[in-house]
Amino acid sequence: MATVGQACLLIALGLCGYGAVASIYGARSGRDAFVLSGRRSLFAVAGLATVAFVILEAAFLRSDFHYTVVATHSSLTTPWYYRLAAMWSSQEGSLLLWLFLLAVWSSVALVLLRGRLRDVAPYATAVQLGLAGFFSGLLVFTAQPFETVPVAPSDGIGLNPLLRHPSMMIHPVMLYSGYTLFSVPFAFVVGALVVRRVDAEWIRATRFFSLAAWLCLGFGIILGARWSYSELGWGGYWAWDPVENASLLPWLTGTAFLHSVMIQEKRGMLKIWNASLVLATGILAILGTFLVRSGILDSIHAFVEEGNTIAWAFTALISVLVVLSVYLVITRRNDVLRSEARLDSMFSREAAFLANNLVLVGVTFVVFWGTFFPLISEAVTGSKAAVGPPWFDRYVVPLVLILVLLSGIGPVIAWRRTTVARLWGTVRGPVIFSAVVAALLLVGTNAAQDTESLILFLAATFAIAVAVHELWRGMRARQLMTGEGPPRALVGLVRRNRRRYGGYIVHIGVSLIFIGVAASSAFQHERDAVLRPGQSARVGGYTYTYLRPTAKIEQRAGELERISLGSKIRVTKGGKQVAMLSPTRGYYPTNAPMLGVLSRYFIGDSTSEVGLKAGWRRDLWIAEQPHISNLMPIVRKGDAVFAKAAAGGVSAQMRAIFLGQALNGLVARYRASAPPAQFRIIVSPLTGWIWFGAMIVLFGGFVAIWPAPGAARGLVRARYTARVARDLSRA
Amino acid sequence: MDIAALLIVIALVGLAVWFVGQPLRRGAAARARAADEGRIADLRAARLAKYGEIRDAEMDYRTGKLSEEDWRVLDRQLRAEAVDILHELDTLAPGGADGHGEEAATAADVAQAGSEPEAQQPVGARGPATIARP
Repeated sequence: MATVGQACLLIALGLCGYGAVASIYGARSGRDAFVLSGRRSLFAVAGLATVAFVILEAAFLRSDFHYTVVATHSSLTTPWYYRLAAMWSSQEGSLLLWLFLLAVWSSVALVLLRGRLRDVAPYATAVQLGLAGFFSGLLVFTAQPFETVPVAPSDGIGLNPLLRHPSMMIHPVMLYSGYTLFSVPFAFVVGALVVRRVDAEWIRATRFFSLAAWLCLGFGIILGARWSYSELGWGGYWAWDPVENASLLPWLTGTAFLHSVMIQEKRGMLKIWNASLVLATGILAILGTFLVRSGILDSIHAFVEEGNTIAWAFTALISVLVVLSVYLVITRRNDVLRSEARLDSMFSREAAFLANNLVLVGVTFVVFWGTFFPLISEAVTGSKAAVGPPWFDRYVVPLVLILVLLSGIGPVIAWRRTTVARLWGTVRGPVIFSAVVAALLLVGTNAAQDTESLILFLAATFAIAVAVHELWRGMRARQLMTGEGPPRALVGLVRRNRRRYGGYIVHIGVSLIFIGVAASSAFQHERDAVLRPGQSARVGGYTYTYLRPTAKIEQRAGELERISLGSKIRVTKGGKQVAMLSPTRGYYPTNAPMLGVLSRYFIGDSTSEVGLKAGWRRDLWIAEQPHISNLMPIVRKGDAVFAKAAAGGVSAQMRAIFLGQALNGLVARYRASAPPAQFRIIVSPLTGWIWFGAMIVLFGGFVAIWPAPGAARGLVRARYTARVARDLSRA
Repeated sequence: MDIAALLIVIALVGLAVWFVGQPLRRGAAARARAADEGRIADLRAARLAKYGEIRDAEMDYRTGKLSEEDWRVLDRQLRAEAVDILHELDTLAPGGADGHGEEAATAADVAQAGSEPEAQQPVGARGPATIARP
């Protein structure tokens, strides 16, 4: 089947080339048959990419080590669900995932937008096929997922243990879905600019995909943060790592775009800005993939094998996209991109959205500069220098404060203009509420110790209060209009304007996330301690006591999957037990041939499984790094014994039995007399609000994206129908 | 390459060529109706969006963000824009491209996205006492 998979990619590459040319030729010559043929090319590419994707997934599932990519990224001891996800831990598999998602989402877009933007769609199709062609080309010529060997190894190297986490099964798919979904508005704006039809229609047509992209990317980012928090063992969820930043960049510009498009829809303004934002978002999405896959920047997340090979290809693609985008915007700026209206007042929703956009782009610039600083410094000074989290925090935190405040002000200002008195009338309640919360925080907590956090709490409380107040006022207005009860009026209100009220729910979720981030950053208690069994460490008012060591051998499919060394930790406060935690470190065997028989179980990859007791008020977190140095002399002695046994003709079966006994002996020895272990202990307030806020964002996003109920259309009464139609005709 | 794989590859190539080439063989049978249909679809989407804007403006007025005077001006302008869209739709699809007439479709869109003229009532403490048609 490898041949079939490879053929699928080759045929897809050919179809991408043909389809792009056919689409453009059909659009320019007015020959619809070619446009349709180009469109079908994209559908065919989606079908072929799906076949290739399924063939490779099947190879992973059945552990077919004839495939080089399977042998190097999976093993017999990899659980089946991680085998499914192992595909995108490889360079080849992740590029195939990109192609698959791009082709599928693009095809869905063409189907859903069938009949709309007929002049724009062929060029958008050509852009999508161009992107698909790029990835097909990489898969055919550079990163071949269907490369096979005649004789399969008995076992594979295995999945990187860091990636054996539930989040990692979905995280890459969500990120890539976000990236590829952003290619839809990107392709359509390119098409709209080419045909010089930059009214709000392309925005409306692609709104679903912009929102879906934003949602998927945001969800992917949160999953990545959760993975970092519970798997990497350093205690944080965001490290301003280049790969994290790479996914944040298009999300930031995408967020700005989702707000600024409303100004174009309502007022016909900011056409250049919107076109530029969505072009930038599309390019940043490609850049995100490039950073993960090229290894051009040092990152804990960059799982790179042959990065340099594809780095030049990505650089070329991004350069072409940047030049094309700049050319299109510059050549259209004085005619079709001219604004249809001017800003009437600084006290208007347009102005608030514009300010929100400037802040978001400011954050984007800061993150971009900080991320690429190593490359910039190397180009200027000849040596790589990186900036750390404090640098990012210094610039991002003030901008985020403004952003959260604006997210509270934006929803209550009317379009075009408002007066200070009217604005005060709408924000009075939320302002008073925020002031009360501030007073309570100052009196009842130590929030005053960190001014930035206190201001952020206030801004976020204000934004939440505004959103809730808007929902309440809308519900009241609807109640008075329709006579419905409160729950029904609220549901009806949201159903009638999902985009607006879904947006408000998102604001609530984002504000909760920022409260969690501020609290867990500013008021976190952290301590590194070396403890022996029986010893304790006091952190943030909690006492962590190392009760006893744990050690076990974990098997899967009759093979040793890993050796887990850990501990039982009792957490008490005021003498009362509040949690029992079990941090462990898993040691995965490596197949490196130069290592001894026993050493390979202790010198391979290892990952941390943190002990965590999550709560609304605080998380109790602990990670362990066992000291295995005093086991190593015994391990090395065992290596020598096994080497002698192998040379002496001891059968493989007997060696396996001895190996089992030796490993069990080592594990028992660790349990009986564990050496001191290194612990990282954290008491982190309100971290759970981040994940809860993310769930609310997700819910709000679904509300905003969900299609309007079609069935309601059919229920309109005839006289009502006639009346509205007449009213509108007379207006 | 084994024979089965070769046959599958040949079948895939054949299928792809047939699928992609079919419109070229069929010619441009559907060409005539294509342009108008595209414009009609765009106009219908624009109509929906415009009614959404009318409804938004009304909600802003009802929740006290817009003065009655500003709302009247804005509403009148938005309705005029909606009428332009309807006129163009009527020109392209006088009998209703969906077979039910544009008027019915319009009303359904308004019902979905827009205001409820018959249900307008005084809205209480902070809102205006009555809603008047602009």
